[in-house]
Amino acid sequence: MRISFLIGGPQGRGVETASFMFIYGVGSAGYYVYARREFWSNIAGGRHSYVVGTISDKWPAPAPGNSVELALTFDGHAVLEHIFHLRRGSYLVYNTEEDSKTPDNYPMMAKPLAERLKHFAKEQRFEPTVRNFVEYLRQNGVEVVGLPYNKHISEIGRKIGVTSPVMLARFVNTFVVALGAALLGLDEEHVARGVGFALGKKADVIEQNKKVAAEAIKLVNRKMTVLQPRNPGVKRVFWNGNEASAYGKIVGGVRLVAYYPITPATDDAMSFERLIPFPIRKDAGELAKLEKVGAVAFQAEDELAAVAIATGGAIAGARSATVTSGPGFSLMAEALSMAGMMEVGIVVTLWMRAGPSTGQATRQGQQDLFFSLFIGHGEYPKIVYASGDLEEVFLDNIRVANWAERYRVPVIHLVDKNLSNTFTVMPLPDPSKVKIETAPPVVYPQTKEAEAYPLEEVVPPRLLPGVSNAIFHLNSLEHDPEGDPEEDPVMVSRMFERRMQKLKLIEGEIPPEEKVLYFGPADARRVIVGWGSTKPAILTALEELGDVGFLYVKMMYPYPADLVRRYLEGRETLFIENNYFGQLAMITRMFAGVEPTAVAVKFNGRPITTDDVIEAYRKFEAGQKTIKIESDL
Amino acid sequence: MQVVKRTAADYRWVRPPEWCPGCGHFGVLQSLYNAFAELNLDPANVVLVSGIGCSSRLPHFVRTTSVHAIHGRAIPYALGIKLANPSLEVVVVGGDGDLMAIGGNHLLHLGRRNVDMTVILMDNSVYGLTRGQAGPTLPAGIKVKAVPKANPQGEINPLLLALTAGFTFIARGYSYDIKYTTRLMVEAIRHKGSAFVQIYSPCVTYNNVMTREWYEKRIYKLEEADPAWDPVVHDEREVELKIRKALDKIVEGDRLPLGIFYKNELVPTFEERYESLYDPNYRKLPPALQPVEVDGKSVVDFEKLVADRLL
Repeated sequence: MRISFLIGGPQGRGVETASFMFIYGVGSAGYYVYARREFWSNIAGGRHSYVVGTISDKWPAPAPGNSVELALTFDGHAVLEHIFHLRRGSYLVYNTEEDSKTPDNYPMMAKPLAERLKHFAKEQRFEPTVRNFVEYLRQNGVEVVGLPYNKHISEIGRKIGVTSPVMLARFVNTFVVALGAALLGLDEEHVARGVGFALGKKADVIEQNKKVAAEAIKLVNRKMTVLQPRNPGVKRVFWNGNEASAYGKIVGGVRLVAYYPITPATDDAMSFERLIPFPIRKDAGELAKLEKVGAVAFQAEDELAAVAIATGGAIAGARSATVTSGPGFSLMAEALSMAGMMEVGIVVTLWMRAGPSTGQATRQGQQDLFFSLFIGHGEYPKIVYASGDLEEVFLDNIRVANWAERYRVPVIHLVDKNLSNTFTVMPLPDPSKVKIETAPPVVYPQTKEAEAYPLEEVVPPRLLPGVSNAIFHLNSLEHDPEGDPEEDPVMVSRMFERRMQKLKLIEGEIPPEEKVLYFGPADARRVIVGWGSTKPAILTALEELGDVGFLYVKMMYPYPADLVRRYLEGRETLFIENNYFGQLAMITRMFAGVEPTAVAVKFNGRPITTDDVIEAYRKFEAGQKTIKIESDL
Repeated sequence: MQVVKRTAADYRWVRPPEWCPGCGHFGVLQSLYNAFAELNLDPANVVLVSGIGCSSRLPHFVRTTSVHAIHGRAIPYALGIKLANPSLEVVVVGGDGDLMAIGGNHLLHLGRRNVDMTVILMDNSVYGLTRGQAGPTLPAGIKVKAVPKANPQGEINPLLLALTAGFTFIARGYSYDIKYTTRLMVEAIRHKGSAFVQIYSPCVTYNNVMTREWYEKRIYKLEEADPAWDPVVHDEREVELKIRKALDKIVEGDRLPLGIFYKNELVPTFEERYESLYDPNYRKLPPALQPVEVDGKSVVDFEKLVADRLL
């Protein structure tokens, strides 16, 4: 069972709140939800934003395609934005009070879209009013639920004794969500649960909104389905990707996060900060007496400082991370090279967004794979690891924190805007799936000078200031075992090789199933190759595509060349990526020597959808080598 | 426990300093040895952090733990170390290029945070390691040896900047006066809050204008010129007055006062603020000293942590 939906309206006017109500409300009936938010990088709001997703009784819920079965719209602008995202049998809920408006009445509509809509109306020989577009949809089999929102809300207000326009305006969210609930056969109780979550737990507010919902539900005499309340039988969590990442850091032992505000990374650090201090398990030994432990979330003056502060934290012995996006990551290049040289393990959670330059701060892109692999001057060991869904974002945060400490290299954890703004009601992941592996510090009985970089150790002993009783020098200059500057060619060569041997160690120790995953028939002749947040869309498409494999790459560096070759040799491959170059395809050619058969790319700031994968695959089957995806939901 | 009384020699690392003969930095180094000895600091508990430059080599001559980082970032590295383990004694050393030019932003922001650490500026107004370009503290109109013309850029007054930024301890020393510089360093390290010490440390190779003679014609000691000189804020109502007095001395140009210009321990440190706002056990169990797992399982109660998000 699956239902796709969207909720759209002017940004900053309650669309997000309504979406939370809707998602939580549906979740409270026992269903899973997989949704994502699309919004503009603007200041005062008013641009069109929406949440698109699917409801399912199974997890993972299928990823959305390029159209939805249910569209809940706040205004005529939203209707016009999504004309081409509805299909025969879809339901559109809209405000008939906007019927006479045209694209020109919506100053916040993107000009190119307004032009496309007017052009389309002209071709169809109708005036470009909301009414005419809705009529066009109706003629094409879309079920339309059109109501005069404000008239009804005023009437409902009178019934429950609320007349103040400010108060009435606050009911719009509940009203729209309730219309959707009615179509899904959910009662006001579930809407009220959503209201309780989205607006806080004030009983009188919930009660009032419950009445609004009950009245709104009565206005809809149709049902697209009936979502019977069900018991999913597992604990479920409602969160987004930024939050899943912060929870992963906390559970994974990260105790210092330094950051400079940047979209879409900031909410990772902000969530971490919000949760300080952290509750301690009752069976956590000595620590349990404290009940809670603290951590430092530190807002730096820039990303140069953020990465340095995190590195300093790691030098002192705390699991430390910084979170950023492309522009900030660019500023971190020199410090990452230093972390490699100085052998300090830090985590950079890189929330990629659509670049280049400032690009589109709130839009999707997978453009920073090359940059992550090659960031920083000189040659030094590092790990680059990508996550593709929220469970991975959570668990991989524990993994990368382990690796940073174990190998003492910078670890770049690749995530993206799509993941950051994915909202799910999903089974609560089990943190014990990833064991926390620490590297205990050396502690000398008496203070002594110690070698920070002994030649015989691939990973040097973990010396911590104030803890190890050790006097030691860490150095960004090429150095001798004592950490003092050294340029003797024999020593340089040995020290260099010793550092680089970490790459072999990493390759040998990290198990294959954490590097790549293969889905689908083992002997499939054709294989889709992808990475990161395209995973759910590709997996969903796989069900429809049948006899095709999916090689999902997580470990980007050191690149698992042998594994990838084993899976891809002798097969036809289609690489699908959210960038222009097909960066995974290029590094696969570079490291594994595998020539991709075809590459499908999408670089318009929107994520790759299930339909995108299916369409790209059909073109690939038909022999197309270079496929550009341009869908816009 | 046995109390060890350390001497300056206990802080000398195995390698001799690699600076030009007569370099001002030798005096800074000796003063630091002396200050550490006077404070009897445990060398395994001190972290000396530097960036890049002649002065940033200093940690390699000192028998304490140290981090020789990249150009301009000594302060944020030091900050990260201190935030993760506030019980460490963290001292930053660097030149005027490192701390005032490429790293100027970090200096500015350390001041307003008032983290309990010390920054020592070894000021010679030139880039020695790259052969004598003008430093950010070189006054306009001065032509130093290696550059073709007089400096067309104006200078930064480091103490003025430090005062504006919010440093709660501001002092100036002169490297050839080791005894006096030692005293200033001791006071700076002892100070509760962010301390900034500028030390005139002439470059004998590239700064042929601001030489030992040049400085010695201009410097004088605040407390010698005015025996009533008291830079300490004893009461919150005195803050404005003491800042004005410090300012008056800091902007003197013809003569260059040495000494402590300003000291205010009434401002809460970042550590104190963090403790009261976020975590009452911050200094007892800071990030660097926390166990994070027991038998491979997180010490954090995940379900409790995520309780408000569960359905």
